Amino acid sequence: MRKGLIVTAVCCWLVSALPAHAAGKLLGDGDDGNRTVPVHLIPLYDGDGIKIKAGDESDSGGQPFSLRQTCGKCHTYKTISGGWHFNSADPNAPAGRPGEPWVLVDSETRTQIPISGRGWPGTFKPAEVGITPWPFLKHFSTHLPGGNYGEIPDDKDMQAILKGEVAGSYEINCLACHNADRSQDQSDAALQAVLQNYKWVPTGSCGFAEVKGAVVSLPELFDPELDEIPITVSYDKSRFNQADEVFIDIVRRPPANRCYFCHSTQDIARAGQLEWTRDEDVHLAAGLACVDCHRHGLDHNITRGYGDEASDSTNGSAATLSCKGCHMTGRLGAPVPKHPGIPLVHFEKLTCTACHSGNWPEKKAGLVKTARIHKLGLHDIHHVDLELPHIAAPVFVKGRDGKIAPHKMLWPAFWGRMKDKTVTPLMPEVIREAAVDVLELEVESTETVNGWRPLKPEQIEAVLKLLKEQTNEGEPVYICGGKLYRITEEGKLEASWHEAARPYSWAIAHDVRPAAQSLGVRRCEDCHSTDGPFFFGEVAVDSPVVSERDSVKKMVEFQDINAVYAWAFAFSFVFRPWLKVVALGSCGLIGVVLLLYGLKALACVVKVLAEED
Amino acid sequence: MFRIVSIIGFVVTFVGIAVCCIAFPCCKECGWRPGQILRRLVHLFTLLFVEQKLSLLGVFKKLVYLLALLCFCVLAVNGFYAAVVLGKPVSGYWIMLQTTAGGVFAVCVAILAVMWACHHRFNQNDWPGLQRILKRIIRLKTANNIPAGKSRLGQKITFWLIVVLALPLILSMVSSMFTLFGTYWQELLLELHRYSALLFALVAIVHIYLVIRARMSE
Repeated sequence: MRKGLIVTAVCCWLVSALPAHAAGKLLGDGDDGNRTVPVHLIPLYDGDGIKIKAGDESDSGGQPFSLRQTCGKCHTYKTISGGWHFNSADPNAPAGRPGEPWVLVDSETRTQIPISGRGWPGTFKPAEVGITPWPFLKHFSTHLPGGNYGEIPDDKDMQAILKGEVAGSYEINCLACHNADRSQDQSDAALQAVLQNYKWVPTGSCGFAEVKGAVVSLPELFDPELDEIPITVSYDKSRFNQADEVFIDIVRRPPANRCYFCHSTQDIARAGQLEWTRDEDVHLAAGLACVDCHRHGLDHNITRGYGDEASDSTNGSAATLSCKGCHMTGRLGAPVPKHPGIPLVHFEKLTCTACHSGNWPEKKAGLVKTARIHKLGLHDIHHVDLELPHIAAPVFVKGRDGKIAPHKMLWPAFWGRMKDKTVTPLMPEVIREAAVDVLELEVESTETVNGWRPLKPEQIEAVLKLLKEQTNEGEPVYICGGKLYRITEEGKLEASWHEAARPYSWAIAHDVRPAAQSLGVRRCEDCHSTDGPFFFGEVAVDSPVVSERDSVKKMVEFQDINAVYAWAFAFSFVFRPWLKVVALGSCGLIGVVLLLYGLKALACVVKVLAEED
Repeated sequence: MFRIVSIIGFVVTFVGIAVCCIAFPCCKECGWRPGQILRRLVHLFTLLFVEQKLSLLGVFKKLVYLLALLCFCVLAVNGFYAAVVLGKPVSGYWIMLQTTAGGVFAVCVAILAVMWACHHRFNQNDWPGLQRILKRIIRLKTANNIPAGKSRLGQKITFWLIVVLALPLILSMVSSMFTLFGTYWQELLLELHRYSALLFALVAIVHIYLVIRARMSE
């Protein structure tokens, strides 16, 4: 009997222990509570899981290390690959608040298409515009942390079929964020990506290896089975110890410098020589790092920090790691704001960032470049200086939460086909092929309209007619500057507003200005004046069309507020000081009357109590 | 909460006035036949007219009173419609109307306080019961000479309540416009404004009713 009980107990214990074992928790998946970052003196493994040894290099060079294999020994790669930075291609990943898209730009065909796998309204999923993973990497991999489209096999693109096997998989580059070594060079990572050396990206940027050769320059009929791959890796042997382990300065809390590579914004008004005059985000200046607010666990489901994120995110800290989360509680020493004199309605209608983030609004919204869209930060032979797309900021736009927030804004421009009022963009290659003469693509021209090669209405008409001749499937249209151009039944070019032409905007949060430089700190008229930029600042309508050269929109048009009302309300602030004087004067008078008659009443009571008449 | 309190406050006030109307008609001829009701309504309407016998100052007083009445109606309807019916604060063009009417109303109330305070002083006639008590405990010689005439105690009390309530009502709004009070105090001031506005409105309604009642019975 007793024996049976013991056996049963042992069986129960084994069964209860099973899930933990089945979950396959690796050494680095947990946290034992010690806040010291473990020293990462680790062996490197290549894509086949074979340990890389310093002395292994043959004449053809060593193998690149694979982070899926190397990091994956202790950290569950699959869990990490579901994180925010790597899951945009996953249709089940929550999209959250619209954010910065990738932008497919082709200045010659006058195209700029916002692309995102997240399905944010106003963007197109790569598949919708015919971009398979291989061309996606070709366009955007310079500022991709790996994973995501980099690990989705592409069996549709001929280049991918021919070269994909050699180029390898663009695995998550853990070092891009977590290697605190100053020699970690993301510009080199971008270079490897441009060269289509996808599996060499982590190796080429780690700072202790050099990669030579390029997949992009391989002949199309290159056969990796028969030909030797002319891409070599030479490691800095001094970094390997006797056990062929390498110290990599891995940190849990990456410095801002790591985030900046993909998350920098350049103010065009202060570009170049004036870059040093820009102030840093007040949080960074105070000593915080980006990841102090943008946190995550092993799942890398990072908090984005916007107000209603808790309704989108599965990250349990999303509700508290926001402006309010810290500043209303004093978390991390955040100053709790007093907001003296700010009517409460401001907190209902504005986000915190409306007053505290981005550049101080000017009469005309400025232009900015972003690291990912304009490929900033590439310092080598792959350096580019992209002017397009034009991104205006700050533009005060009413967001999906009903609050006005500063946004970055770009105007989509593309040729497409419209079916049932839905417009599907056409890839620039299609237009190049069809309209090389009409668009004068082979003609050198320095003339520009709003920074674009100019586009005349006659050219639009001609291209649309050419596209119509190609196929009757979907009506050919051109979208730019907030308008949709189409050929009417009478054969004339018509421009009208269309939902697909609506500018795409995404909220900005940084750089945060200190309280002393927030909107409204001087007086209400910072915003509430008849020419205040908050409501009446101008946003240039970005369009290559010659006739739209000087077209602008007022910010109030993006705020779901009647412009007349906004003007009238702003105008009423002229009388606000009078109102204060009148109201205080009235109160003074009423007070005097009350005092006078109160004293009289008191005198009466005194008399009565004195038993006088 | 404020919504519920407001609804209760208005219901109780209007029901009280209705009960008072029915239980204590202001004159013997005040019946409930259609003709009598119509006559009363016409009479009520004529109360808005400026009488010819008034002096220039009297005309001014009446005009200020009427202006204050108009502003009160605008403010009360605008403010309480949003708060009670819509359940949200006044916004849009209505807030501009509210602010404009509020400024005018503040001035009117101040002028009325100056001009009508003297008429609304409490006198011996208002407190016969109190006088009788006082007579027993002190040697109040005038207690035997109570002047004849109708007491307007209700009107006087509501008048002084209006004047007193006007202070928190105006100050709570105007002080929030200065950079003196932070969010916590702004919330408190808004609550103070709401509740003082509610009390003010209820007292003003009772005051108007009593004034009308007194004028109808004359």
